[in-house]
Amino acid sequence: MQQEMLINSKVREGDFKRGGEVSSKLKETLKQLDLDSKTIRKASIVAYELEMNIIIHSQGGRLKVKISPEEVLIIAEDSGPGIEDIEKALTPGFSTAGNEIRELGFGAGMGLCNVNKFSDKMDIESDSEGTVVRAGINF
Amino acid sequence: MDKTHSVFLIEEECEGCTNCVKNCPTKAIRVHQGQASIKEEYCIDCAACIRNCEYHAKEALTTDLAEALSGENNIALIPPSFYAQLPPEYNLKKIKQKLLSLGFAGAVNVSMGATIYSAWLKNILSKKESAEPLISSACPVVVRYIRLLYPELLDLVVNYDSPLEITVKMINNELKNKFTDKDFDFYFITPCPAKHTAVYYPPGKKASLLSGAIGVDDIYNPILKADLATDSTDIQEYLNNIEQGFPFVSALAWGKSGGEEENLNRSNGSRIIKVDGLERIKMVLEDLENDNLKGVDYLEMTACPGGCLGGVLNIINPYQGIINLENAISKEYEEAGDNDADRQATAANIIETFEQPEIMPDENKAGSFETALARWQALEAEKEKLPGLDCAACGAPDCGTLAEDIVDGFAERVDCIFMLRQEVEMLANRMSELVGTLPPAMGRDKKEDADGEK
Repeated sequence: MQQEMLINSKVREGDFKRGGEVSSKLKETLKQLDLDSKTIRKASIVAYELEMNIIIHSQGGRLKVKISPEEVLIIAEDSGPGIEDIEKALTPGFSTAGNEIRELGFGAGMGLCNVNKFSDKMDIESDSEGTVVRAGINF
Repeated sequence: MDKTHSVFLIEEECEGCTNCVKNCPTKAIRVHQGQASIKEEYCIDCAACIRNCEYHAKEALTTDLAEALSGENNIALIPPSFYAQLPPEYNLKKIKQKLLSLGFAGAVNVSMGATIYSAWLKNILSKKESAEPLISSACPVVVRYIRLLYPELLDLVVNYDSPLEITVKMINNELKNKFTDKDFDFYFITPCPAKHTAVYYPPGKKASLLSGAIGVDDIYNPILKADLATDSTDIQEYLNNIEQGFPFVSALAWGKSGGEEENLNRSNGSRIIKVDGLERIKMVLEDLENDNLKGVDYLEMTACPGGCLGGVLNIINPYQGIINLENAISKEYEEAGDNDADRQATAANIIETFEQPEIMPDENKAGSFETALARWQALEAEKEKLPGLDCAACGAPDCGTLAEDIVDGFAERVDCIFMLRQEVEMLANRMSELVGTLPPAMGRDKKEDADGEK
């Protein structure tokens, strides 16, 4: 299967100033690839949530995006505390974000929930070293 | 002249500077051979280039006043922002008298359509279930901008005619019933080029009911100089009657950014944000795309800073305009009395009779995944080579756009002054190398060769 790495970018923990930069770049790239606008919207939301997750919860990581004729695959890898209870993390409104993050308007507990909602498949691997989330959006 | 776009270039005035290129929000302009040219399919008639051209080489095509007056039964449509352009003694009545004196058979106020739009929106917003906001369809530039750069958000654009089209539709129906032997032509007094384009290519609609749009800059002086018509016309009297049945005064606020919000908030708890200027609109749309704008019901978006008051064809600066418009509204309220609020019900009834237009989606660009990917790869490779300074000396707004133009065959790599310098350097090196090379027959020092180290 033909697969191409579109984006492989570092995301720093706590770097709210640059929050959304990688997902913006992805959006631009997907538009250049003439993809269907609904797919672009879903991929933008998923990438943005995953990018913000790395910034809020981890000690830094990478956001990678691969594309094949069938799907856009967004992979978020981080090192950090990991997700304690994945099922809980997928519950709308559940959040472990601290007050200062909530004051910034983030950490409403919709992140992974949105990733799940807008992707066609998603898997999460997480331990005390870090987390890998893979989310695929079909064409 | 082609009417696909109102904005056009006066070739002999263009100095080939790249101000318009750099300031175009859709990257629609290139300078080649010292002349700007607009890529039609990207132009949304926002007038950024008209504002930014020091040489006044960009202009807006609008309907000639004499041409508009050449036929019979011409109706002028007055936008709320137009009140703010005129001296304080110009109330609606006086503006109409001036227009009649110029030769129009009648004149009406577009805020009637805005009233219907507002009433209809209140209804929609009260029933809205989706968490995503709706986007106003009043500004044609915004609709075009979304269609071009954010097509995935097109579904959020309110599926309803603009206040201008609503007004024309309504009075056209009424006039045709009353004056069965007459045909009417409708001319909008436009503060911006986009409304002229929308006459010929209305976004999301097959055809407009208007016959043209006269620029505020063209009609301003004639209005000031015109006498006041002493006699009214049958048509004008009839139009006044229709208008009197309408709560049009509060909707005059639509002329400024925030006017929709004022009209919607009156009886509805919807959460509305007003956004003016394409730069800010871009910011909001980017966040909306990421689902990062929560708890908003409605986005009032106007491409010009300040709303229609900021239209590029207007005379008065938009801040003075706000004051003038508010004063005009107070005066009209004094004349209309309390009727304005009572007439809301009339508007609500008329809405029922309105058929809603479909906003037509763009056709999806067909192309294979392989071709698109190959183009993207070529693009990335090209971007890698270019310096990334975005100096625009090549005539494209930035290096990324030049890369696209190169890949698509509209530009060459040496259009970039740095790439050209690199090529020259390579050529110079090769030349000096060649200078040091002797033809094979001469290239051997026989003596040295004899003592050589072989």
